[in-house]
Amino acid sequence: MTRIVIAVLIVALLAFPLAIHDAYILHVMIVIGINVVMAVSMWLLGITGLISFGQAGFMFLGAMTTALLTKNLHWPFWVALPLSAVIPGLIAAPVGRLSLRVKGVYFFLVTLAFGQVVSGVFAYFEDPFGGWYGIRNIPPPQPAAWFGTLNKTAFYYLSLGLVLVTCGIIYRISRSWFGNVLWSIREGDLLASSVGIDVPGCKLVAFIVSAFFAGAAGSVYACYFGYISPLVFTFELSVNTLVFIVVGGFASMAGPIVGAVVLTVVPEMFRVTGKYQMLAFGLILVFSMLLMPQGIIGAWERFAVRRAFNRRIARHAAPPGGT
Amino acid sequence: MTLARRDMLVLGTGALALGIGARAARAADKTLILGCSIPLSGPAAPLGITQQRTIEHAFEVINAQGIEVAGDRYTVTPKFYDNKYVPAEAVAIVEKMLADGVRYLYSSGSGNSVPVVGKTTEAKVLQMSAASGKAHLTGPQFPYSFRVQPTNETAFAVYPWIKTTYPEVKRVAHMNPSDEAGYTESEDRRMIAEKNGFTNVGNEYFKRGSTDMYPVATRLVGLNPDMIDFGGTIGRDQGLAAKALRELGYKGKILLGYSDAKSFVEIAGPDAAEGTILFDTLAEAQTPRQKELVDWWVAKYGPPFPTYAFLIWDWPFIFAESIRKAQSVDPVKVAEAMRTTVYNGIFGEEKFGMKSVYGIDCSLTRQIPMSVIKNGKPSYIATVDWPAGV
Amino acid sequence: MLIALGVTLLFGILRVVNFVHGELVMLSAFAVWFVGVDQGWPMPLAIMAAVIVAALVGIACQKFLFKPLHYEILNCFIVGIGASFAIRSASWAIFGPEPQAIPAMLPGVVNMGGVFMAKQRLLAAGVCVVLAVLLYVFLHYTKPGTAMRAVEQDREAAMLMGINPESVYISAFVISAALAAVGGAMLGSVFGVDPEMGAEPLLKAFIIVQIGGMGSIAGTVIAGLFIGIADSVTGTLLGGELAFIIDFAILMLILIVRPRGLFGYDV
Repeated sequence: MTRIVIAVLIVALLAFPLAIHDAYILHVMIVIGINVVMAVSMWLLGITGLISFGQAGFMFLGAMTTALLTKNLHWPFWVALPLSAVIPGLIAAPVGRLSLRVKGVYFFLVTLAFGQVVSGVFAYFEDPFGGWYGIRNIPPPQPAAWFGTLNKTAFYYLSLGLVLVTCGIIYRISRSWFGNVLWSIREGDLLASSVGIDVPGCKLVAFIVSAFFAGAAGSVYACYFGYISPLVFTFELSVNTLVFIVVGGFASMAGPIVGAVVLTVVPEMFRVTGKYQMLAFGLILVFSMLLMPQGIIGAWERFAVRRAFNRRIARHAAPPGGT
Repeated sequence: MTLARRDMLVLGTGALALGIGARAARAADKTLILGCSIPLSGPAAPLGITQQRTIEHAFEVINAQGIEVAGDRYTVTPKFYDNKYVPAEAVAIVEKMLADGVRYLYSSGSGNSVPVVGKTTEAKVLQMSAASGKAHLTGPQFPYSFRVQPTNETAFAVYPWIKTTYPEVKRVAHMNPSDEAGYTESEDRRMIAEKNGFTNVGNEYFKRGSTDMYPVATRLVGLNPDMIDFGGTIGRDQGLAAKALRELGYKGKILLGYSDAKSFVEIAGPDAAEGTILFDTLAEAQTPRQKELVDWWVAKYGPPFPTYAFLIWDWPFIFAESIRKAQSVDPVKVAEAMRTTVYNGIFGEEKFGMKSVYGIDCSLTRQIPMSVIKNGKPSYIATVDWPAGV
Repeated sequence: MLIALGVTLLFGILRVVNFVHGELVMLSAFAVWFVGVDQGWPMPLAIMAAVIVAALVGIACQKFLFKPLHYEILNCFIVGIGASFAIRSASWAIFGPEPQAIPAMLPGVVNMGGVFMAKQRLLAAGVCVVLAVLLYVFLHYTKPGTAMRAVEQDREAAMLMGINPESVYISAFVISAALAAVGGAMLGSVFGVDPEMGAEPLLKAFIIVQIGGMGSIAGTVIAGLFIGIADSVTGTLLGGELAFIIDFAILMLILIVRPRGLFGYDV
């Protein structure tokens, strides 16, 4: 059942630009794609109960890799994209090794500090990182004819492709033996290590994988927007990503996806309200948390369970004269 | 493809005009939508709020008369979007505007204006920015991009004036926030100061919004300058820095701008603020037209009047004048007309210039008002004419 | 630092990351400005008013936001962010674009071995130390204080001992709001009052709390001093830009070497 729904959804998404040519809607879809990748990659590590605020930093690393390779060295984007994922992954290894020694809120803070150091370093060295000016005119992917400034269809497919690959891989991981280990770490890492699980090792792998995909998201961001600067990859970006996950729901991978989609679309709907946009957004966050503390997915599951339960009750109660 | 797009845009504009025109009392009026991308939340919100209020009023005045184009009467409806001073938000706003068929953009802040200028150029949208951003924002490759508020450019007028008014000033030190605006200001101001025969003794950066200005102040005082140019420093950083400098025994002059002088004095304290030179700041209305603006603000929003409103008052009128001159609402034609429009505004003769710097006439040149803090209050001292040949 | 104390109390005891805390600081600074400057009433009265405003908002947060979420850390975090967006945005609409200022009570600077400190800041530091001592005494030597620590250590056991955790939570919120109010008054007199003023000190407060060690009042005070001095020293020696990177690098190092903070215990 779920498989069919997902297949239909993917086909619909693939066909989307055939029906909709509105550049603004495609733009929003592309941004949603980047946000979904960020949310899902943060969620993977979030399974273990660790929230990394360094995701913006890794995204920046990926974006910077793409910008430097394609603009300064004129490498094709398709070479730069995998490198932009691998390099943050490599950097994540020692960073994760050190920062995973601490737990809970302390981990949050160490990764936050890491993100600040990354943007601080990029901001300090004007050559080659562009300093606070950032880097502009980052070339689009090849062939350039497909990726024009005003032609969004190719970018849409690029972003969709990244989303599908990311979600596919992370879904596999979360459902594998390794994923079960991650869930068990959330329940209690002492317990997990007492049955012979290499807890630090597993956390490190999850940390590296999430940095890898954050880097890829950064790469797509860089080539789509064509402009990156320390003003873009801030602490707030990491906070937003966490908001996507929590509002969507932690329980399954659908949570971060739904959260990213809804919370990208909703502020867009309120864009016309100008100065009241943030007010509306804030109130929506408050009420969604109060009404759906388990996130949208949590609320949906409870609703679905209750409906199934009611249906069963109804079925049992239905035959008249039954004993 | 392009043809179909343009048709759609024209249709879109037409439909919008129809929709709004039908609601308006005068059915004959046609409406132009001007998208305004300004910061309405976050630390830059005070500027954004002042801009929204001022721009709204400017178009009220313009629309009362209307803009005659080839027998049709046009009015302009500004639409305000919150860019939160985040580049990605600014891009989203422009995407939305383009999709809605809006062909005119006003954009505030270089971080929001530079990332969109490529897009607006390609879509042939007339972009009017109140931003720094150097040749990345205006130049021959961006024929529809204009700078409607001089920012770092004002230094071209200010430094020659300082030289004649305060001949004792020889050594200048610069202080700027460590971000794009700060770097742009710092580079340009050092270059202009040197051209005018000053010695640059130092150049210090601080983190914007930093709570502690004593470190940067200590370094600056050590350089022993006659004048410290605060450049791109804005908001409460100005007051805190001036306070720290004076407390550390700095006796020289302070030059700053982009300020509503009132809160600067309050944060710095009247003693520390005394004698500060304010560039591109008009402390009190000097002419009847300036007075009129102040009276309107005070009547509607109450005192105090933010002096920044003076600086962004004129461009909507220049925009309207350019449409009249072009006799067309095609942004390309309006842009052409705008390049040569001369408007008599609240700061004298205003026109787009600075070809010598940007390679194309694209940056507004006008008189630069100067004020100084006297007895704890800002007071007007002079109006500097724009230097010839820039 | 005062703000950090309030955060410590809430964070250490309730495990609640109160993102609205920064907005409490901002609102109470506005209250101080309104009563003390705009209406021209005496300053102590203005600070009292601010404390009352902050306490009311604090109770409202506890009752309507955090209690229904059972003090779940992530959910509270998000609710806090949402509420603070909404409050900040509404404040811009209400208070307008002009920042306000609260006059300093003590102008001037003191030279402490090449590093300069404004007297107003020293006053703030002094007030902070006094309040910290009071808070320490309260937590360790009074009945409600002990109850608070009991709830922190083991909620169920505390309930068995006849402690009502809800009333403990309420009083913790009120005290931390009051600290935010005094912090707001101090901050407003140094930096001016505007709707964004709460955002940055809040982040700093979290950092201070964690370096000091959660729930440790002495740790918070020392860490606050340490961060303040480190900021000044690196800024003076290296210039503002590098200091920014170095500060965070130091923070990373401290946490990696002493994962519980300088004076913290296991959580």
